[in-house]
Amino acid sequence: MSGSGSGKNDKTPNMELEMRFSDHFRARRCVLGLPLALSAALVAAMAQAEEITVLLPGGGYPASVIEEFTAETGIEVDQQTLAWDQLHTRIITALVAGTAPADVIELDWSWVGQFGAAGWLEPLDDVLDPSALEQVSVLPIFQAGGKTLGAPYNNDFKMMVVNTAHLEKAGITAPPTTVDELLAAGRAVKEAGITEHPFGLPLSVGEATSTAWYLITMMYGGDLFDADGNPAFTDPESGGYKALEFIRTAVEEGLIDPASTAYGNPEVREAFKAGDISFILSDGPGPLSTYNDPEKSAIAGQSAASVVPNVSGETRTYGLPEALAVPSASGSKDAAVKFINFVMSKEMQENVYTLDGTLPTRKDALADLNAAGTLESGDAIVAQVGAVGPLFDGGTPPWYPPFSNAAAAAVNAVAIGQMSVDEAVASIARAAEDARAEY
Amino acid sequence: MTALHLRRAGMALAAILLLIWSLGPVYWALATSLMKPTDIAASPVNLVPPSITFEHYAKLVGGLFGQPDETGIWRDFLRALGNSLVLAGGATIATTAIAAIAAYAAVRLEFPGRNLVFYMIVATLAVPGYTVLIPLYRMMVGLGWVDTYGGIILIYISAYLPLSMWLMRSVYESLPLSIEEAAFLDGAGRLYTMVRIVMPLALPGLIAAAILTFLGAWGQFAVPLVFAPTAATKPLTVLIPEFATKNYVDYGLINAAGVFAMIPPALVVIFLNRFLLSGLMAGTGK
Repeated sequence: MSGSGSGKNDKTPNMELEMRFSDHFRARRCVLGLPLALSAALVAAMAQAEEITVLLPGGGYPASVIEEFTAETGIEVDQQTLAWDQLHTRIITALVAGTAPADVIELDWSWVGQFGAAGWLEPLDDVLDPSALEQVSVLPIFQAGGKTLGAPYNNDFKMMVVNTAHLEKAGITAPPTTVDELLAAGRAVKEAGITEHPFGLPLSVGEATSTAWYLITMMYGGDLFDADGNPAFTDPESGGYKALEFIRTAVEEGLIDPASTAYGNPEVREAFKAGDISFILSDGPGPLSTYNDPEKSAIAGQSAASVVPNVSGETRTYGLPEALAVPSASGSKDAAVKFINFVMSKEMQENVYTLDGTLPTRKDALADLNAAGTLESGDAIVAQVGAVGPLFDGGTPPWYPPFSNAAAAAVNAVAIGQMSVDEAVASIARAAEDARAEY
Repeated sequence: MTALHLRRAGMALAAILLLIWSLGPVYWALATSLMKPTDIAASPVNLVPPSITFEHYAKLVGGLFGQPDETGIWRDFLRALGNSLVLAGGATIATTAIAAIAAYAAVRLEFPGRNLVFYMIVATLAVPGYTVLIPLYRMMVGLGWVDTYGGIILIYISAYLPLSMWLMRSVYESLPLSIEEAAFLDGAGRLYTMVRIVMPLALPGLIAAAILTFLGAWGQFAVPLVFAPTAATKPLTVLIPEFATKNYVDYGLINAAGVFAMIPPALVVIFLNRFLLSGLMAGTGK
């Protein structure tokens, strides 16, 4: 027994102390180590699971671009896509509910005022790559209240598109550069019987119609509003007034198909692809590749972009670009900004244009593509890019949507013959004042 | 020509016009889905495909048969088709089951406020969906139910249950109470009587409620547009408009997908139409 007892007491006091300390530290290590291990695992899991959602129209970014971003940054991207027409409903519903529809969202030029006034978006001035700020001339379109709310990634601006074969047949050697030349060219094409209605212009009650009127206003050197924000289209000598007269005359002369009062952009483009019209007065560079695709168009190889005609010798147009924005409610703002900076780089914009035809917003990317001969109607596009300005100085106002609706309704009424030009401009001016008062 | 002949000719003409009006768009969708994009864009418009192509259908389901497709449209399409079936099917089963039980309770059970509860549920039919969209979204985000089958089906149930309950109440009211009383006298319980005796008699009504719910849920657009943001739950109604991009509308692809999307509801209506009629007519002969 003693043996056993002595055996038990064989440990020296030092050893006993060591063991007690050892047990104590083991226990402490367990107590302290468990949360540390859990935290490390959590951090590792969070690092692994860093993911952002991106909500874009159409097909979004090509898969290879997303993969490249993930490989470079380790951030996973869940890209969600939606049809263009439904995007606004989806985004607005989430933002009004105080949530982020995605970490990176589409921002159309026409939403800037509304979204900016509501404070739904994170300012990007201090986080965007400085080279993007310098190179993107349409950036002011996405500024509201002195803050940049979106990074323009898809360059869209109004241009004229012509059927060069039709012009040649009518003996016209170069696309018209003045409004008088444009009218003369239209009449020549019509008289030669090449197309019954040479001009394509959407005239239904929709956004496409109001934006077409804005462009023709610019053709005549006009603006929609003066420096004080008052309507600048009611005077018979103003660009807006003359634009409405141009539309009325073109419909009366048969230069524009009377059926256009039911047309939006898709119908006008279908008519152009079928060879039924010779000019789309208010189009953009985006659809050019479709017009010249023999699998999708009956006039492949005959379509070219042309600078917007004018009366002053200086072409003008405005941009309708699309931008990427970060909702204030996003929980992954840093990662979202990394994504935006990644796709806004010159190399990536060139890459995306090659992959899916999204026209770069960076001047250096456009110049590169044109020099390489890969930009369709490159010279005209580069010439027009220099003349792209915002439709509204200081960003699109929040009252733009009701104003645009009223403008489209009035232009449609003039085309149908239900309203005179005087009545139409008065009606648009009234709607503008009402809309501004409401906001 | 006699008056009878004239009347018959008039009726035939009216029937033909009605058929053209109803089936014209279906024919147009089918014809366009079989045309090449250049034939769709041709002028004058081709009423009959000048040459038949299955290229649009190949884009939608070709991947299943090993056809290479870089765009991956077929994966999105089949997933959306599956989502539509799950959402519409799930909503149909749940709504019909709840309506069958709830309407039975509203007709046969005596409890305080029975009619008030019933009419309050039915009154929600008058609430426009858009008015509750934003609070509903907020709630669903809070619960983590956005982009889940369960969350979307729950919304469908709340949307289609009132109509189904209304319909089922008429059906139960048209059934003679004496059958149930006889069952009770024979010792059957309430649940047994409802499931084994009443439900078989109410089958046409149940099927009518199921058809109406399925058709409604299959064609739903506004709810999945907001609550089904990713491919995990996005149904066909939200996916198909994506084939129209800012610069190009792929009419052939849209119509081919539309033709596919028409098949399930068309089958449901063709094969279950007789139940729909008898279910909707329940109670009219009292």
